[in-house]
Amino acid sequence: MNVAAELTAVLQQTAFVSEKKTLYPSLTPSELVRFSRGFYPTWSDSSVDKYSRLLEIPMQQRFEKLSHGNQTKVWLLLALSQSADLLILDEPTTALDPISVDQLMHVLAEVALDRGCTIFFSSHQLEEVERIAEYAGFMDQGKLLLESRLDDIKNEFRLITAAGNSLPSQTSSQVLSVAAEGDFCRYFVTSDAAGFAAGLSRNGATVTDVAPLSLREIFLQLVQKEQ
Amino acid sequence: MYFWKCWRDTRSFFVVFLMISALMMPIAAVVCVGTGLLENFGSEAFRSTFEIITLFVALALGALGASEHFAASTVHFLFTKPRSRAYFVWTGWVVGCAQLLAVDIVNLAAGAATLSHYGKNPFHSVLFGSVTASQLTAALVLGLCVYCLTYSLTFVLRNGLRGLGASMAIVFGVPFFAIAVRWRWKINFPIPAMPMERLSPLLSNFIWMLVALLFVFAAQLVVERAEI
Repeated sequence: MNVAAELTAVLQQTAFVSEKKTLYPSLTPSELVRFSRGFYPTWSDSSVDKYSRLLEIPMQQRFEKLSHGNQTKVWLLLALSQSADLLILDEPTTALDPISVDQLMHVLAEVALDRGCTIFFSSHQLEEVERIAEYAGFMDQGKLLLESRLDDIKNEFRLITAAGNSLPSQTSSQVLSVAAEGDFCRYFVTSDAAGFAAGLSRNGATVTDVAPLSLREIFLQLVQKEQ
Repeated sequence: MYFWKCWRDTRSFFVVFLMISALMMPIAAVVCVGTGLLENFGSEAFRSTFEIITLFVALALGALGASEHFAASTVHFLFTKPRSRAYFVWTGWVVGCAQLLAVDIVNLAAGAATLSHYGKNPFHSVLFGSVTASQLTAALVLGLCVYCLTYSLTFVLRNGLRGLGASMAIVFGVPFFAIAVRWRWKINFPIPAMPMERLSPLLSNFIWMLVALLFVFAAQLVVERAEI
């Protein structure tokens, strides 16, 4: 598909939540729904009713009078009601309280399963990404550090803790970082952690733990390596 | 729906402009009754008010057209809607143009009704003669040029006040520039609403209307290429 030539068709199938959650200040969410509805043939009024109730959006209050959390919810409401094939959500949980974040994660999972649409969302809250994403990518200063299936990413990285004398202390393409604490060393390892642990054991070290890493820890290691 | 949004953004100003255009001549007439001013200057006063109202309403509507999107940083919301950017530029323009026309029609009707009430020939005064259709057309063409220029500059500069300021500088600066050019090089620099050299007023007005539309086309090209 030529996106530039078929931009209108692409936009019709794309819902977008901007990082800047600003909308027309004098309009109420109801009026914003009225404004947006006419642009999308796939618009769903039942989704408006459902999500406005679920997210508890005050539909008759002017946008400028809404809290930041409710302003974010209005953006989400408009995006979800488009029934689009692709949802692009830039920091969709900004200013949301933990309950609303939880609700939103459920809604997104439900939408993805029911409609089979693709959700592309960016977030600094990696715990949220970990909860619902199927694919994940890490970006740092505009550079894509890693992009893969979430399960593959989580399977690839391990934290190996070993004790012993003359443990290796240098990083390599396999070892992202080494942290020494007394007789112990922690190795952040990518790819073939079992092989690396076996190598340590052969050299007389005692491998005390091989633990998986959270997305947050993986991201920090990758960024540190880049810097 | 964007028509509705444009109308909603400008309707309060539009109502004020309508009231001013409807009431100005009747109020002036009531104040001047019995002084002879109506008979001597009535038509001329009407022509002047028509031109001034057209000019200032054109400036205001041009600046209001797209200013809210830039003031509230909502352009990214608007331009991710499945319509071409040209659609948004021209829809806003049509709404403003229709409002400008409505203000002028009301102004003309109110002026004609007022002058008819106080005299036999509403568009003729003793000292200044008759107001001609070509004079009113020239005022309308000037209004269209000013409106299109202000509207385009608001889009290009992404700010209603800056658009208005730049447009006012051009609108009020061009006559002085034209005078300077004529004084220095003996060339008649073309000004909207003034007949071009060797051209009939009709053709001249038609060319100025095309120029006005070119301003909006230029704004459309800029907006279509702009990173939002």
